[in-house]
Amino acid sequence: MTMNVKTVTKALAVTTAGIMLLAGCGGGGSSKQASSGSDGFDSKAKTTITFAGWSLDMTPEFKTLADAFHKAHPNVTVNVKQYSADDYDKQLTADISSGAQPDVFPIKNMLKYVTYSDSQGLADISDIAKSYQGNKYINLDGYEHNGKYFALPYRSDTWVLFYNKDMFKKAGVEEPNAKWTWDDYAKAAKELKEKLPAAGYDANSVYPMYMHNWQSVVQSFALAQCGKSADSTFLKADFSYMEPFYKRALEWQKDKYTIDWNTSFTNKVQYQAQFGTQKAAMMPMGTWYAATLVSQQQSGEAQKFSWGMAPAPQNPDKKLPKTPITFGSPTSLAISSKSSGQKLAAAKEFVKWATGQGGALELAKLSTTPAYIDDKVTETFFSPEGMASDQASKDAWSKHDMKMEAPVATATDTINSILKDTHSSIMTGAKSPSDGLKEATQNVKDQGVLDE
Amino acid sequence: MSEEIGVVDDRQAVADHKTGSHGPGGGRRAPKIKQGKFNAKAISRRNLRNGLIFISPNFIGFICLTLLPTLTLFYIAFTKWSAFGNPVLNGVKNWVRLSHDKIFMTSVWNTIYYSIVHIPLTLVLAFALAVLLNSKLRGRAFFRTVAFFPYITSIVAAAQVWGMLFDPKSGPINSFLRLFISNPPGWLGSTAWAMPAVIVVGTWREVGYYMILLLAGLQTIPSELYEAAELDGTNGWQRFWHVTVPMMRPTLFFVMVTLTIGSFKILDLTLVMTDGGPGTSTLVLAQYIYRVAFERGDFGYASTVSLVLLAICMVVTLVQFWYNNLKED
Repeated sequence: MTMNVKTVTKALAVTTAGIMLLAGCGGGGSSKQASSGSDGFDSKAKTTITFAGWSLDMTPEFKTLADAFHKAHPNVTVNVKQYSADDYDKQLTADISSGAQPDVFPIKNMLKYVTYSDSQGLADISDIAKSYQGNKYINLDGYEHNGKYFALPYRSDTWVLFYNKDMFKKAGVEEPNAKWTWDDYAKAAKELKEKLPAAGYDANSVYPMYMHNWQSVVQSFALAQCGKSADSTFLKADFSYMEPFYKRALEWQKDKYTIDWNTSFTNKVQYQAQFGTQKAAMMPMGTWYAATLVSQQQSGEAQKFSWGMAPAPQNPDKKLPKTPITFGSPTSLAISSKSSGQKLAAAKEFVKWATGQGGALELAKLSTTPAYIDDKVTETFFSPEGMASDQASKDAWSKHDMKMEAPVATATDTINSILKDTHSSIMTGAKSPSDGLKEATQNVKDQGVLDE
Repeated sequence: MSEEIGVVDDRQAVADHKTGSHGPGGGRRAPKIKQGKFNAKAISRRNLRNGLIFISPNFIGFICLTLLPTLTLFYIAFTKWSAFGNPVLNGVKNWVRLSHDKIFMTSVWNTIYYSIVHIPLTLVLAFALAVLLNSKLRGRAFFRTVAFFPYITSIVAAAQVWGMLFDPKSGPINSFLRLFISNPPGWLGSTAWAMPAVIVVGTWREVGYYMILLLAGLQTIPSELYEAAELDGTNGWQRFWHVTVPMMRPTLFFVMVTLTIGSFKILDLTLVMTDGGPGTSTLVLAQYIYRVAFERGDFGYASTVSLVLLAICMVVTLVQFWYNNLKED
C-alpha cells in the first residue's frame, strides 16, 4: 500500500514536472519568438497581415501605408480592414474583448491606450521602441506603460498658431514669432481689432482671432504650459493651473477679439470656415488643419490668401522655454496580442517601418503630420503647392516640445468628461473660473477615480 | 375562412362537452369532433403555435435586446466593468459613490424638472390641438399634417435651427422679445434658461404626435352623447368635462404613460442642443448614463445609474396604473 502511494506520488511528480517543463518550453519559445521581433522576420515567406483603418475613401493614409509597405516587402500583403470613423473605438473595444482584433491597428487617442493595454489585447513591442532610443526625430513620451511599450506613434498632430499673412500685412501688424506669449497674442489681437476695419475688413464679422469651443483650446494649453507635472495637478484634481488661462480666454471674448464661446457652440461654428473665409486672422489649431486648408483653398471652399504657421504662444507667467511648448495627440499603431509566428514578425516589421522614416515620408506626401519628423520629412510635407513655405512655418511644424493633450492614466477619461462641463460653465459665464474649477475638483473627487 | 368557422364550432362543441352540457346544441355538434381532422388539443395547440409565431419577432427582439440586458443590469450594477474582460463584483461601492455624486443629483433634478414642465405642457397643448382639429375647421387635414411635421423632422436639423432661433444676440426670438423687454434671456448659453429652451423644443416636437393619438381617441366618442348632452342644455365647457374627458380616459392614460416614460428617458434633444450644458444645467439622467458608460468606459457605475432611472420610470408608471384602476372601479 505504501509502495503504491509512493509510486502514485512519484508518477504525479514526474507528470507535473513534465507538464511544467513543457509549459516552460512553450512559454520560453513564444517569448523568445516575441522578443526576436523583426530579427525573426523571414522576408521570403509569403505573409498576409490585417490592418485596421477607418473611412478609407476619405482617409487615404491606411491604404497608402499598406501599399507602400507591400512595395518595399513584396512578400508581405497588408489587408486593410475598414471600421467606422465615429465608432472606431467602440468597434475596436468589441473586437479586442472578443479577441478578434486585426494584427495591426491604430489607436486613435492616447486615453484609450491605457485601457487597451490593460485589457491584454496588445502585444509588447518594447523591442521596436528600444530601436528608437535616443532618436531625436520621434517622441515616445507617455508610451511607457508598466515598463513596457504597447504602441508607437505614427501620426502626431501638434497645436500651432495659424495666421493669415494677408490680413497681418494689410493691417500693418507684426506677424507672430517664436517668442510670442499669450500676452503678445492678445496685444496683436488688440492691434488687429483696431486696424482691420481700416484695411477693408468688415468690423462686425471679422475678428482678430478664433478660439474654437473645444475644451482643449484652453485646458490642454494650460496643462502643457503650466510647468507642473500632470501627476501633481490634473491627476490630483487640482485644476488651479487653468485659472489664468481661463481669465485670458474670457477677457478675449469680452473684448470681442473672437466669436464668443456660446455663439460658437450653439451655432456649431466651423473653425475651417472661420479661418478659411478670412473671418479670423489667427487661430490656434492642430497641424491637421494645414492639409485641410490646402485642399479647401484648391477646391474653392476656402478663399485664397497666404497663410503661415507660428509656434503656439507661450505662458507669459513662465520663463520663455528654448523650444516652444505645445500639446498634441499622437495616433499610434499597436499589434494584436493574438498574433504569433511569422504574422507577428511581419506585423512588427510593418509597425517599425510605418513609425519610422519610411512611413513618415508616405504620410508627409499626403500632407498628414507624421510622428517621425526629420529634415527630409519636413521638406516633403512642405512641398505641395498652396502649403505655407516659409522657414518660420517649417520650424513651427517640426520643432516643438510636445506634451500630451491629456495625461495617459486610467482616471483621465472621467476627469476630462467632468472638465468638459466645467469648460462650458466657465466659458458661458455661468461660473467664475475659480468657482468652476473648484467645483470640478470636488466632482472628480466624488467620482472616486483618484484613489484607484 | 370555412376552416375558421369550423374551429369556432368545434370549440363550442368542446366547451359544451367539457361542461357536461347535454343540451340540443351540444348533442348535435358532438359527433363533429370525431369527423373533423382536429381534436380539441390539436386546435388549441395550433392556435397557440400560430399566436406565438405572430408575436415571436417582436418578442424575441424584446427578450434579447431589452429583457436580458435589463436583467443583466442588476448584476453589472454591483460590479466594476470597463467592457473588457469580465465584470468584477465590488459590492455596494457603486451605490456609495452614487449617494454623494453631485452630478448624478443634478441630473436627477434636471430630469424631474424637464418632466414636470414638459408632460403637462405637451398634454394640454396636444389635447387642445386635437379638440380644435376635431371640429369642423376649414383645412383641418392641412393643419393636422402641419402639427405632425415636427415629429418626423430630423432632430439634429431641428436642433440646429432652434439653436439659431434662440441665439441671444441675433436670434429672431430675442429680437421679438426685445420689443417688450430690454434684457431678454440668454437661452442656450444661460444656466437658468437652457432648460426652458430645451422644454420648448421638446414640446414643439412631441405635441403633434400626441395630438394624433388623442385625435384618434376623440373620433371614437359617439356623437349621440354630445347630442344628448346638448339636449340637456349643457354648454361646451360642460360637455368637454363631462363627456369628452371621461370617454377619453383610456387614450389619455396611454398618452400619459408613454409621455412620462419618454420624458424621463429624454436624451437626443439635450445631446444635440446643449450637450448637457452650460455646465451641467441640462444634463439629464439618460445622458449622464451615456457619458459614464461610453465616454468614461465605466459600465459598472453606468448600470447603477441606469437602475435608478429604471426605478423612477417604474414607480411613476405604477402610480399611474394604480390611479387609473382606482378611477375605473
